[in-house]
Amino acid sequence: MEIQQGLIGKGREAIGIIADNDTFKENVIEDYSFDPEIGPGAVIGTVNINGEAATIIANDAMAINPKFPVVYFGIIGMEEANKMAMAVYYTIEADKEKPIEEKRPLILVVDTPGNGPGKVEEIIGMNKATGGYQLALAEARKKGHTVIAIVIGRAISGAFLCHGLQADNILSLSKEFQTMIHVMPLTSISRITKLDIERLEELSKVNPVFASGAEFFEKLGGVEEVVKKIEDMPETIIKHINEVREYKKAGQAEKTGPWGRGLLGDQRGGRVTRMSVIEKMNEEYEDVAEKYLKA
Amino acid sequence: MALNELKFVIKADNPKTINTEYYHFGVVGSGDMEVIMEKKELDGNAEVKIVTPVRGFDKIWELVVTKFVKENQLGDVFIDINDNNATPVIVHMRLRQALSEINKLATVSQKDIWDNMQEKDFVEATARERAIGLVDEGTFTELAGPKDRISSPHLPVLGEAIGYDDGCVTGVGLIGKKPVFVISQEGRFIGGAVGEVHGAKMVGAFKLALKAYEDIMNEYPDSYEERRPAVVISFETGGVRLHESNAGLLAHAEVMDQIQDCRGKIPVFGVIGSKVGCFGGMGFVAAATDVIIMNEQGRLGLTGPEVIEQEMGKDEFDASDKGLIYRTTGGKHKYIMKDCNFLVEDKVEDFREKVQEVLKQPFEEIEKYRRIGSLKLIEEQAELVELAVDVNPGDARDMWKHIGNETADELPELTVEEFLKAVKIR
Repeated sequence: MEIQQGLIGKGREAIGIIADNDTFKENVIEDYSFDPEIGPGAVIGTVNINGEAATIIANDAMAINPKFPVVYFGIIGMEEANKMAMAVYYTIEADKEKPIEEKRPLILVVDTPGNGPGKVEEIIGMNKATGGYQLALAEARKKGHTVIAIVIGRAISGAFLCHGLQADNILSLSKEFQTMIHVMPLTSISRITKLDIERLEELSKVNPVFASGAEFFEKLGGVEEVVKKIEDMPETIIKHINEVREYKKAGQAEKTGPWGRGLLGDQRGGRVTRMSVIEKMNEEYEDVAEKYLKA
Repeated sequence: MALNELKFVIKADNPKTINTEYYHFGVVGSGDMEVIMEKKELDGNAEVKIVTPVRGFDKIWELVVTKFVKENQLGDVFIDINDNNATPVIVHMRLRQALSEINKLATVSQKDIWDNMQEKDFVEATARERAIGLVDEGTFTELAGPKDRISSPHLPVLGEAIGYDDGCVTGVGLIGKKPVFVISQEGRFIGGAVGEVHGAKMVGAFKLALKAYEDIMNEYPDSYEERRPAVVISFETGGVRLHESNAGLLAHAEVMDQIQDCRGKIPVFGVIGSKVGCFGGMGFVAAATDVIIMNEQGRLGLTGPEVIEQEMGKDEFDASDKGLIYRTTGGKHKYIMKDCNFLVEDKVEDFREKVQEVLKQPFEEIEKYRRIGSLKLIEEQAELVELAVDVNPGDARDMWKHIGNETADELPELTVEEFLKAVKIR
């Protein structure tokens, strides 16, 4: 494996690569503008991609949030998550009258190591902030917007759930760029589960179910496509925008998003038990459905 | 490193079979086990199968199960055990308990069993007891239950014990005329953590609820309201199961997606009152439900106390301080913050009655209990975050006082009834 200069910590630089030249308008979505002081760890705004307006939502690993000390190095705090959610709702609002092909895409540039793990965060309820952002993205997707995530650095656990896993399609730079996709490092898994670290390391080379990295997530259907060169990012994103839009126009939205990735996990052989469980439930429910529908 | 599978065929002198076709008993908690006893033509023999992570005690297993079969003179019965390091004493006790429950079936009615369940402390109740007890008497049908013997394909690879429900009980019951799809997590099984099968069961339950909604809308276009389905999740989980972490993470995203699909169609309830609480990625899922019902013992959050302490230091959070933990994530605090809509006493009945009561309200009213899921709600949450900047709470009590609870220090000591009378909420 040849290590290449990656984009970890360079969310803003990544926006520049993905967007058409000099089109990034920070903190602006159509008629709405955001206070730059609030949620500095999240970068939001409007760019052009392939000549078309798109909402961009990224992490800024260089920013710190002076009000919430847990927010640094790309961590998503309460302000950040609420800001990200608002960016999504404003996007939905801006295009609410437009047909699917004109609804602007949302591009999630993912480089985040986690959600804010602090006392104030728990007192106020951090789970609502990040949960709210996920619902907003799911709503945008179901209302016909195309949501594409691209992992340029770290996509870790709950932060990836929040910023990434609700997208229609997920792309990731390959491991040569030191991208990281996982729930927890093996050392922590070993400590918490009391499983032997050597055994875990051995398994992590072959078992996509808990191995770390974009390539394993691809096998599980958790990532649609791995991007092997930084300069390929814009065209790959455009390709996926078009593909997702076609599905939506054809009324086949179920082929994208978390459910679509479930189907992909089955096709790619990474998550094959999942579907058999769901089918078993359907089968058993059919036998008793009358009783519940005609009570 | 696969699991150790043992099989014994045992012949009693005067064998007789059990008086039910199938019975499931127990939970694969740490140091515990589950057992299925089934009638089966086996030439009068009892056949025992055991799946356990433990090696080197095969002879002891044989002694224990032979003793059990012979002292009860069992035959034509298949005994199927999933063990997680239970001691021989526990194994023998669980087997006797299972048989005793089976023998009771002849004299105790299903109604008696359900009535007993209503009186149980919610915090102690197993996932299956909660699932059965949260819906009307005699209406619960388990889907993909232990009978199907679906377990995680990933745990045996790591030499970890499996369970036939994978720590998640799913099924359908009724509350009045409404089909209620129940998802109930079992904290005793790997902390209720979500893996591939557990997650698929959650998603499957949502899918069926949405299908039932469509069917009812078609069938009863004029009276669907009284039959509108609901989903009830009895949370007991720390989120992703690390043993199959990637599959667990992806399942979380699917559940979130399903909740959004339910919007405007069917209400989703989060019920939190079990030992483990509701944390990690499932904290997001709970926040995304329409209505949250908790008891005082219930805890809801994102990052558990140990993780905060480890990440941020003991000064930020002392994970050994039980009072601090409950003040920060417990039912009373969540009620004050409106992160839970109802605080109830700790009986299964209290939770069931509250779900039933809320379900009587028009759906449009139920949707108003939401915390997140629209621009307006996010704006409200953003205001709350700015308030936190102003108040800068070092302890949840600072927020309680700010909201107008002069006697904040006394709130944790009050009974639920006294608390509900005295408290001011956000």
